[in-house]
Amino acid sequence: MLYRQGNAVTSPDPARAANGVRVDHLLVADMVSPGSRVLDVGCGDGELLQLLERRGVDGRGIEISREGVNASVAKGLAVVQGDADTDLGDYPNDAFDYVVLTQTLQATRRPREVLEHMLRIGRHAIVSFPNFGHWSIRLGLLFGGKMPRTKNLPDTWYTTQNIHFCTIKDFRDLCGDVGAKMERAVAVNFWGKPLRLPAPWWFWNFFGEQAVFLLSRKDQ
Amino acid sequence: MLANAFKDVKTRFCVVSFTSDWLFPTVESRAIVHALNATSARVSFAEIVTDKGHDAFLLDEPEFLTIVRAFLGSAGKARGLAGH
Repeated sequence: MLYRQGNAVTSPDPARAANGVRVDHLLVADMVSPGSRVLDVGCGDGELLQLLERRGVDGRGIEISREGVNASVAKGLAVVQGDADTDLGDYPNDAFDYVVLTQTLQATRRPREVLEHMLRIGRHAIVSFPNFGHWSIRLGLLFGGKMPRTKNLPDTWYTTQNIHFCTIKDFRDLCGDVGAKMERAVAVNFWGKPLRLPAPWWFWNFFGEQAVFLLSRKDQ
Repeated sequence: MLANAFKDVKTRFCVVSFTSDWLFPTVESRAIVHALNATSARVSFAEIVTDKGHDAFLLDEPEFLTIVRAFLGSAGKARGLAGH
């Protein structure tokens, strides 16, 4: 997801691994089986799609900003301009093996409908999102008394595109409400390291700075 | 329905529109892209901001040229042609 501020496009800066690749992108890429068909919703400048295509994935993308679309197409990627809230309805059922949404769910107007469309269009859905239950955000609100701003979520409440923040626990509840099966879930800590220990949900919800979920339909 | 015309198509598509083109406005290009998406065709779509109107595709539009070059390059690579 790219953010418009005037004409310039800036993006929030989620944690990156030593080789410069976004940590959530690496986690998503590891959840996708090679040779599959993937739709990346809100693909930005095509960074994840490029990573996936290098791994033999047939990737497509939708991006809302013209700058992001043009940058993606200039990389030879199959990306079209579109809005996750309004344009997913144009895609037929089961068109993809995976539908991916990285750091974008919280910026959609109807997150539940977007998630339902993802599970309809793809056999699997992969969602990464910033966790608003992270300790730094809880402490920010508790002691600062203001809407929390962090390194990865630097915008003020009146400039942010993120209108539907959620915590890991909230997202788990939404998965239940839309009838999604959670196949894998990974939380990433403040330093961009996946929390690999088997831990209770409250622990992930407190120490996970962002999370990546692999979902499928319950009826499968 | 337009989508039926593209059923099971294996072609790679790149649709480009120009903001000041009144002959083929972006909304019509977008209808083609929707139909291609509905059949899961491989399609890229970009809109170029320009004041040069319908003839923009004949003129020096760096963003347009970059996109065409990248599209032809990646299509050639996918079909086994050497680097461009």
